[in-house]
Amino acid sequence: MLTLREKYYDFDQISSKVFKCRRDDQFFTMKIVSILNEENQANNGVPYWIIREISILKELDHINIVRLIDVMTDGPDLFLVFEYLDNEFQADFLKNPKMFMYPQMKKEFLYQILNTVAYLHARKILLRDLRPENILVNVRTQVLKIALFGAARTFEAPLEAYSSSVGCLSYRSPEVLFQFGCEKYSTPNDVWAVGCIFGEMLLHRPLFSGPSDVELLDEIFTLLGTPTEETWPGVTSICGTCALMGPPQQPKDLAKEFPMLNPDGLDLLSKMLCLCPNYRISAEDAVKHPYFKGV
Amino acid sequence: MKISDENSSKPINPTSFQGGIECVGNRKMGQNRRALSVINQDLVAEGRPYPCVVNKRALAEKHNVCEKKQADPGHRPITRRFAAQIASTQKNRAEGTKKSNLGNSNSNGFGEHIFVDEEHKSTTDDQPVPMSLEKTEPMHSESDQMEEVEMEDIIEEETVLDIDTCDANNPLAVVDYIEDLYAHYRKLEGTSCVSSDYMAQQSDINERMRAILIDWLIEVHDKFDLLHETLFLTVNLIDRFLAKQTVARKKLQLVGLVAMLLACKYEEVSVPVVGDLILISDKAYTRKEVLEMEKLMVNTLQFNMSVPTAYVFMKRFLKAAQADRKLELLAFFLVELSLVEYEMLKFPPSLLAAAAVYTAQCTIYGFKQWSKTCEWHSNYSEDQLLECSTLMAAFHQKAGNGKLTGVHRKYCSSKFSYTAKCEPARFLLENPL
Repeated sequence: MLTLREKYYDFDQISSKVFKCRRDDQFFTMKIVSILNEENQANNGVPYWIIREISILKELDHINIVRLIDVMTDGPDLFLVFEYLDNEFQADFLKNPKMFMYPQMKKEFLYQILNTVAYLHARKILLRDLRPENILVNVRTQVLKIALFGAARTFEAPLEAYSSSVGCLSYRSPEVLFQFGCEKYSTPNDVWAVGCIFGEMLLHRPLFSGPSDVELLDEIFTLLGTPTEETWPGVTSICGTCALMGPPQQPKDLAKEFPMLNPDGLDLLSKMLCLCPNYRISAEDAVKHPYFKGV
Repeated sequence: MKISDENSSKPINPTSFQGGIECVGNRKMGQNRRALSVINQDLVAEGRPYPCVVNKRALAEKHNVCEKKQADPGHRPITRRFAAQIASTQKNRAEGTKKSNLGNSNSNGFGEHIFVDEEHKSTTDDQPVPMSLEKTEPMHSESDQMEEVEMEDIIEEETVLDIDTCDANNPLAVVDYIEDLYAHYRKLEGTSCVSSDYMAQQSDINERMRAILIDWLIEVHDKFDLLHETLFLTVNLIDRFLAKQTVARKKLQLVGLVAMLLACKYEEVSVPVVGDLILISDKAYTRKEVLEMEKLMVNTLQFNMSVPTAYVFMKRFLKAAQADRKLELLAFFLVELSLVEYEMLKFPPSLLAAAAVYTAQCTIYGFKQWSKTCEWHSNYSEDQLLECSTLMAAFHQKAGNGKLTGVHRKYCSSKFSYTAKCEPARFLLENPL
């Protein structure tokens, strides 16, 4: 088996643990992850999350996902070789000022995100930590890439219960904030995150930005109304007396909040930001929504 | 047994058994070793048949899009009069009659119309009916001429059942994606299988040694109370590693232990620690050897562990067979017997799973049984299963004899409802291919 140095050469440091390298006149990005620290070495070898994460990434082949090409262990380190994205790909895509030049571009990028999420869900893979920071875009070619490492989980493999460490707070769904009914992440959480990103694309600021679970829920209910048995069956039995519910609020008119959106766009946004996870639109159905006619 | 806490915040009681197939789907969270008891409740415990099964479509129409509908337990019985109505409609349709009377038909919301007698209308309005009673064209009014027919005259084609309706409100069951998912598994299984003659390139080990190793690992898996999928992944990792790497005889057990460790890390909530694996190998290997082998295995296999094993297909096909606990246990007994046998590597995991379900049905019912629903969901006809099924029946027959009886002993226990004690389907062996 070839060693790392035999396989790759011309290492060029990008950041402390990220390198640009070459193999057969092709460029790659190499990320170094320390896996066998003393505690692991004394305990149990390669950590379980590394094994799950990489085996998931290895099977994915989608134009909008940063591809994992190769994996090697060497001593205490793991070397992940990803496809190389040139400087035109900017991370944290909503901070890119060119992003908002053309309205059609937003629709194009939203479509690509949803298409990727549908692809992952069809393979029983959850993103769980979808946020703008993990999305890179090339504005010139209008290609978007989602960097999955550290976020994806298969839901054939066991998932941890909800925890505050999973997912950026602003993009966390109400059922996660409530820890509603069941303890597990599922596909609707990812769709909620896409809805939040959609809103952020339109408003040029995070849709919800509360610093804590309670304040974030209050922001959500201020916009979308406090859930009731009609809008979210079972919510009162779980959270009827819960302080998180706050005083009852009526939903705002999304057409006034998002005047730049046409009726199809408003319909899609409202379906992605549906409070009840069971009623929330699936990524697969969202991709087929009339809003994307012509994309 | 110590349990690594890296993936679980709660203490684990290592002696709380899974209870055979009950591990999939129906246990309370409190006593559940699985983190996702709600996933794909495909295998139903306690002998209950699958709920919410409805007619899907005739096999002949299996490539057409169909709307899934909930079964209506209270739908009207097929009376002589109603049967005559159906027969008449079929006759009229054959003659090219295209009359329509929407006043007497009940739209189902998809532009189709369903028979409803006026006297039954109040009870059937807004209730879906079995797909087999749906018609794709408008129906005729009751004033149309009808002839009386005997019930025997109407031969209803066996339909394919929709097995996913009951999971429609379970996001983890991904009902919207389930067909795509299994198509993806079918595509993927080709790349995750090994050649059935890989052992020829091994100089120091052979099929017999592989069989001894896997038979022992099945017992270890049971003692550690691990999930079903962990066992299937363990065997897959062993075979894929041995197909790529020459292994010395004295290291074969180490390969098996490390494969189980990796499978646990992928599948389990609580992972056995390396120390436990060393103990069960009677301290044949050091911690350093285990960790070095782990690195060699993940490098050799390129971390490819998201592979469809026979287990994922078993879940689906057992659901299609509306299996009760007895059938599930027997199917798993047969497929585990097959894991030990090197010659079974010539069959892809999906075929192995389908044959196990088929053979289990033959064993329980005493005759060949493979419904159109099973055929539709497995993509295998009865003829395609016979070779594999005959081998399974033979393994069942000799399971208690010989030197490798680990699987037989496991399934002879009360934990697995003494499944191994049932008589094999000898009639499958009477006319071998």
